[in-house]
Amino acid sequence: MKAWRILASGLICIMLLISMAPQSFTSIKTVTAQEEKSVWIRPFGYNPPPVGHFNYFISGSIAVFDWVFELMTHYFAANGTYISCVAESWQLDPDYMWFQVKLRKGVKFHDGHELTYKDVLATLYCVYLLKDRLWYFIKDVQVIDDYTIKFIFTEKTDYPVFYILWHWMIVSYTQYGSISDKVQQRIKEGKNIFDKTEDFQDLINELNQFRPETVIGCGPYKLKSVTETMIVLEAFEDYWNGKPPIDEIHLVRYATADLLWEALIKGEAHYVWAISPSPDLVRRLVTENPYAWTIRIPRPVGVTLYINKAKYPLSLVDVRRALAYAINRSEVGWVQYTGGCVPSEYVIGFHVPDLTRYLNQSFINQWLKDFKYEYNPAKAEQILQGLGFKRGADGVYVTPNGTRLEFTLVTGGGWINAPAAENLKAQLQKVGIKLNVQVVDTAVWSDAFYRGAYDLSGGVYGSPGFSFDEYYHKYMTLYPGHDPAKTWGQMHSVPWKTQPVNVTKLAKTIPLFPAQISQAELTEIYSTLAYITGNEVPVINLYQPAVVILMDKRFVFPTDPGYWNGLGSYELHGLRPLFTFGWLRPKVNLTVESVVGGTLSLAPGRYEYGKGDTVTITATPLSRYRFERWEVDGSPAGTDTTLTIKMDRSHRVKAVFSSIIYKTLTVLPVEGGTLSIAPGSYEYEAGQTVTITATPSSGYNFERWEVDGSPAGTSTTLTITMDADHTVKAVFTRIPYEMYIGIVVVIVIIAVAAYLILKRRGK
Amino acid sequence: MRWIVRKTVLSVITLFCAVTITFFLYRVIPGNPVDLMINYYLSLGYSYEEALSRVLMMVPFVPTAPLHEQYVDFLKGVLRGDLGYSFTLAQPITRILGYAIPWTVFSVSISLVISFLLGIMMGMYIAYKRGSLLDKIISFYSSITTAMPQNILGFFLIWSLAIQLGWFPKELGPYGPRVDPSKFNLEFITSVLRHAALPILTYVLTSMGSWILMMKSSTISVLGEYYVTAAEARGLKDRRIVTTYVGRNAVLPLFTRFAISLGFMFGGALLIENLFLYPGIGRYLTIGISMRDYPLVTGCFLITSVATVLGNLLADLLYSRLDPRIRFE
Repeated sequence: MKAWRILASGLICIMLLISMAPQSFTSIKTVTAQEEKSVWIRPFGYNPPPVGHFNYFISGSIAVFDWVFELMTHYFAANGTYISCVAESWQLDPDYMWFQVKLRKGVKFHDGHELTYKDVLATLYCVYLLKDRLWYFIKDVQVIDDYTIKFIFTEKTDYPVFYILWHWMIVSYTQYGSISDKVQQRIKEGKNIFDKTEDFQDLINELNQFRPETVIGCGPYKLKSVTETMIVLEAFEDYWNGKPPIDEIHLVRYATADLLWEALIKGEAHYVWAISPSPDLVRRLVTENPYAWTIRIPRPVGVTLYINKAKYPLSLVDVRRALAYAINRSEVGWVQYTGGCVPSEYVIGFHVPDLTRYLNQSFINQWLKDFKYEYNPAKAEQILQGLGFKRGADGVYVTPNGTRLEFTLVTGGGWINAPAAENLKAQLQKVGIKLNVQVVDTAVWSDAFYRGAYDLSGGVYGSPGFSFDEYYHKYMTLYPGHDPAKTWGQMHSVPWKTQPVNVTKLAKTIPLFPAQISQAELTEIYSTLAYITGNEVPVINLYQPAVVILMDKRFVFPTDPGYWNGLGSYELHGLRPLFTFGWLRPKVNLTVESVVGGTLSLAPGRYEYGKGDTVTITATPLSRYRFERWEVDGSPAGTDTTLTIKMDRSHRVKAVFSSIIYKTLTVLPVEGGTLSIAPGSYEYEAGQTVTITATPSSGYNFERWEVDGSPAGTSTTLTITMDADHTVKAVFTRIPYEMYIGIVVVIVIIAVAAYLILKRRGK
Repeated sequence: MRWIVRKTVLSVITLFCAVTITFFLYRVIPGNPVDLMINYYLSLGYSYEEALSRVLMMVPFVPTAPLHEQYVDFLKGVLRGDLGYSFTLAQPITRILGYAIPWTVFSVSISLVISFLLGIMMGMYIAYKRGSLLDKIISFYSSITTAMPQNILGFFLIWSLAIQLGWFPKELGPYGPRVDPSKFNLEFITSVLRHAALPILTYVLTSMGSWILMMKSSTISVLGEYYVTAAEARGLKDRRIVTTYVGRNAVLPLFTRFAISLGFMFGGALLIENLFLYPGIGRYLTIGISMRDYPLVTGCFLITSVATVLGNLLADLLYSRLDPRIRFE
């Protein structure tokens, strides 16, 4: 017994000692390894394996696909343009009956194989097993060559274009090929999943149960490791767009929001996308984290109050309008989103900030002016009283048939949170409407919602550009509470049309946009549905929260709000170009050392650049100095005065100039000739050789050079090395003319004398 | 022997009832997984029809089938050792449990043993010192921590010991983020122990109080027994009285609860596991309940039920060993 006790105590002590041991015990090695890597860290929620998995098509997967897989193109929702990724080019039939894609050649997957049509088809045939709407419109797939695929449509449409080019990422044939080949075979045999799902059930099961050990894509990052709290992705060397500038991406799981924000505030994580975070947290973030860069972007979805029109007296449109007037949307919005939100300006069923983007201003002014339903509790009561309702003893209005205006608000799923629901209750109480709030979990809420077991409920509305038709579909036909056959009616009149319109048909027409609907027709549909919604009030738009995005200034990234505004909904997908096109890069430093003897086009100091940038510096020597060479990180890097340096990492640059030593050459004035260098004092670089040529004037002869007073040669050309100061003198001598005259005189005299002598003798 | 057979049969019946109640209870409460998953896909921009189609493809049972048919299918599966398939996590339940149970057993068993041992020692001590300042402090502590939610204390410990003081790793989870779990080496073991320290400490600090209070109460009761007075009168050494006469008798009622707790241990520590990102049963039970993942919830409860029933059986067997007055018959 004693031994057992000692053993147990010992084990506990050892455990405690180990658990309290310094952390560096296990992490020294890792830290050292990390120092040279650029790492981007972001919070990430996932279920680690074995529960989380890497089957792209099945729920519960670990969503690293936006880094690991690649898209055909990147789509920018803001302007509706596609940028080529692995699809080099694409073509849509002008008559909307086919679509052809040409793949980029030489794109490598992480397992080394090259992207071909097989990988694209592996993706799309697995999508077929999901019975995705894409395949409603595809009649046939033709392989033109290894890199060209043609999709033949069942009818005039361009719906598949978006889904082929952007929505689905390309999986590897080596992983999904065995399933997709079988799907293809079944289709060839004339089977169709939309007619008979059973024909594909075994393949559906196979896809459901497929658990790839890892994830293989052709995206910028490949999976390195997955643990319970972190996923590590490493840059793919053979990525088609070049190795990404960030070496590793760490996707970190945080247990609670507090721990996450603590990490963000301390700069231990580099990014977050948060819906309306508390202002206090954001304030701490920007004041305590010197690297924090934040932007607030609008969400294209907002919170709405669904009204169950099947229940009396909510079936009366005036009661719904009274509700709309009775709610201060700004007040309730700020109760729910203390970090900020935008109250809806109009009650029209879709994202109000997009209003002018999709509808004409003249239409808004003319037809929607009554649908602002600005907060006006007096008017709400006036409407109720106009219906003959009277306040009961407890202050709650009662209809003429004795029904109290007492409604149940079932809220869950986070659409309308408990404080906001209580605020709604308090607001409606002021106008004599009693609200019973039921805050339930998501499951109970969705159960009540789908069965129509509520009077009022929370929900969402979207932008016309974001599943707009689906929201209208929900309002009008989906939920029992909105059964058009009972309460809504499919046919509605709008004042500018002579014939009633079928709203359900209108809403369902939109998915075919734009192949079958012109922009004008689309605007007309939106206008019609906005008017009917504002007039009928099946929902009350409440508010849309803002999203705050944090980026870390230790990285270079786009700061144009236009880019970030597109991330309101598709956050992960929207971030892709940061990695695909290298728009997110770690900052590296260029230290330019101070110099003596010259100037640089980049003044000495420390500069930050994005990894991969190219920097050009020009050196200009000062007078009496010479540019010698560049030194980069201590090593010689060229003697040209212009240096171009690739910022693949931090660098230290030094320009080396040397001072020039001058020697004075004094050329003394001369007589009797000229010199190639006029008399005077000249400075020459030490060691330089100087050549002087002497040219005697007429009547003179060059006699010699004298350097520093000493004879230095008699050649007319003097080459002198400027190893010291020198004085040069050229010596010319004058030719003696007097002697020549004397000779002539003597000769003349002699000749005269000789003549005279000879003449006498001849007499 | 007859007693063991009778107890075993009773245990099986208890188990059957527990599983049956769990099965039906979770299926009759409002909310269903199909609607929840449809909502999820709707939020991604799918149309309702597409969302429904995707969800039905993933749900391995027909949610609209009569409950009794689903129940029979479930029982058949259990008898085959097949607990079903989690459609939320897209995994067989046995695989999920196989992964979760070791983590839960590791952390909770250590916590349970430590809190039990410390609890009975401190409980007995303050029973002897009842009325003293120490008694008042420990009793106050016990009352507070017994009532305190584990995640509140846990968060406080993370905040103070891990984040502010840096004594423990602030990266939570069962091991460090850079540790390769496939290698069972010193680095992995050290990391596991380091990461287990805070969850265990939280569990011990919050559960020790109830053991203290129970042991104190039990000890005080035993101290009033005549045989203790007789032992003292016989001049037996205090130590012998404390261990053999008081301690052994006072701890008897606690053993039953300890054995049952051993069974409950397989249910995990919901709040602690979720807070510390510990991949135990508690975490998956939370996912199962929130997502109405019936197979997952039923599987987790089945394991807990089996363990609890076995714990009860063990308690009965142990009791007879510890207390000679108790006989099987």
